[in-house]
Amino acid sequence: MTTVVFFTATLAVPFLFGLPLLRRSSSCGCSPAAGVAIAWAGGTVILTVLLTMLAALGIPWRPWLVTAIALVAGGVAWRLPASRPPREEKMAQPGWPTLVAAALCTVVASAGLVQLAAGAATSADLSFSWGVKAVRFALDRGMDFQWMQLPHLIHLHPNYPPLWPVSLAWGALAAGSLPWTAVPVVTWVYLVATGVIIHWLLRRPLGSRAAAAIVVVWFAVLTGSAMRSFSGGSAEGPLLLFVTVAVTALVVENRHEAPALRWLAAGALAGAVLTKSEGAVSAGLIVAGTAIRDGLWRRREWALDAARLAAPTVAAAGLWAAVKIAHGLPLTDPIRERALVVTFDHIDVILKVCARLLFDGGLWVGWSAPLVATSMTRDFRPLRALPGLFVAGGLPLFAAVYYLHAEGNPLELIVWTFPRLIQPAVSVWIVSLGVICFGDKDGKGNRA
Amino acid sequence: MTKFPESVWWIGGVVATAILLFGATRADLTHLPPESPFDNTRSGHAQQWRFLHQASTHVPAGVTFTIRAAEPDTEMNLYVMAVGLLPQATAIPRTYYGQSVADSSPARFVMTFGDVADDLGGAGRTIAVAGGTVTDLGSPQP
Repeated sequence: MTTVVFFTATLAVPFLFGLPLLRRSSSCGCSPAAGVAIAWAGGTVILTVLLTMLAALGIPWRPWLVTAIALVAGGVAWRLPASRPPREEKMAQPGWPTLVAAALCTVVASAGLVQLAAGAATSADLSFSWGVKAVRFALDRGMDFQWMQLPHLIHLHPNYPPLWPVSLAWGALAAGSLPWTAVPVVTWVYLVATGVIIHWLLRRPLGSRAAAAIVVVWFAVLTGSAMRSFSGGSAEGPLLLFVTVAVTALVVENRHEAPALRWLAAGALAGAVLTKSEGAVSAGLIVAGTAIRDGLWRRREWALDAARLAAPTVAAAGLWAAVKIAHGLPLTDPIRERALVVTFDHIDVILKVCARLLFDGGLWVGWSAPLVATSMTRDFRPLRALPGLFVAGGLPLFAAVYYLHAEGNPLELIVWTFPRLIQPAVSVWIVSLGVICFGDKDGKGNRA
Repeated sequence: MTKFPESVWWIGGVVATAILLFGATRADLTHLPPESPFDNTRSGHAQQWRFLHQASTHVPAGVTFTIRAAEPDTEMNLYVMAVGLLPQATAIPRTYYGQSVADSSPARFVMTFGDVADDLGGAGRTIAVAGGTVTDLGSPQP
């Protein structure tokens, strides 16, 4: 029963918060499944902001209060004027690729679900920090900032962004306790939700056949990576969703059309910075890549568009920074290494170990298949995918620089963190090269 | 759409799915349904989790407790897990990031994981649980 209530609270209440987003995405021609996934993920961000603000103001979390606000949000969404979705152009394409893709994705999803539900791919960080914070937040009906500052609790990373522990705490609060064995399954929900959203985003500009091919590679590679890197129950799931959705919404933009999905990308970036510290790195790379691309495309308001894209991210980061300052939490991680104190002797270990882990398991397929396919396209134009390519190259580079800061042998740190850190990188690599491979060749929206 | 690049994507999808399935079939799913989130990870976490879970039933809310283990890393692991598994009691670490916590105040309960030299001097009441013992130093010996 605890598990049922936990899932209901973790899935349904954020969905209610995100209903206005469902209305918005429906007006963009969103598929029902993608709309539900966007509403849930966006609602999780809204719920996190709400609960963080309540905690910062010292107002205890009350399930009835949160549910009431969620119902009001749902009511507001219901009363929003419905806009007519754009007419889908009929694509005379065979149905077999979609069926094959659906079959493969079902196999992948089943294998992933079994492993996560069986506790075969659970992250140790669930019991070391994420779940511990969630349990305590639920017990305290908020964030006990004094408790988070205790000297023998710095392993909880008191400065880390709040989305994942707050999301779990909300479920635990509603259910009465945290069903620890069920938490890894939420990671599976994030994987499936990401696949559903990017399929919709890719299908319109690339066609259902190309979208199906890309999503099959993406889903198999990223599910496999989540299993091998023991990402179950950690914050990798939401981070992967937010970064991948933001990049996909940006790389499917057409040079000669006004961007229609910037709201989705901007919201996803805000979710990324509220999820993990690496989310801010990804967000910075994505905004920079988008601004440079738009500048090279000679879009008139490229700087203003970049500022608009970054605004929710800056607001979300600012909110969490303000909470930390107001309540005396450290701004940086007390157990991490000091910035700019690097040891270049680590380069040898970093290169060898990272190179091996980059291609571990099925990751080599994720890097190589899109590259081989794209190199065979007749008209290679990578500019459109610049936001994704920035992340795909920038995140591993960021990790390497970070490992230079390690005190002592960085081997354990690399093996522990790198397989999870590169998940968003390989994810956006697949999507970005998919768009380059199958995207329109004349930049005017005509598929080749 | 050019056929060959598209074929590469499909082959990639099939290969990645096969690799995933190969890994899944090698998973040793012997503990079903799982009692802990780590039952089938082949790590030591599951055993530590079960010990803490059983021990927690003997530690009431509001008291202090500490954990002993043969290895400092294991002691640290158990401590950080216990903060989440016994949230209503107060965990006092003996080892934190490899350093012995010398100034820790005495805890009422001592959980002992595995074989550890007995330095409790027979004090308190000791209960055996899976993987170790729980000693209540605040209760007289039976």
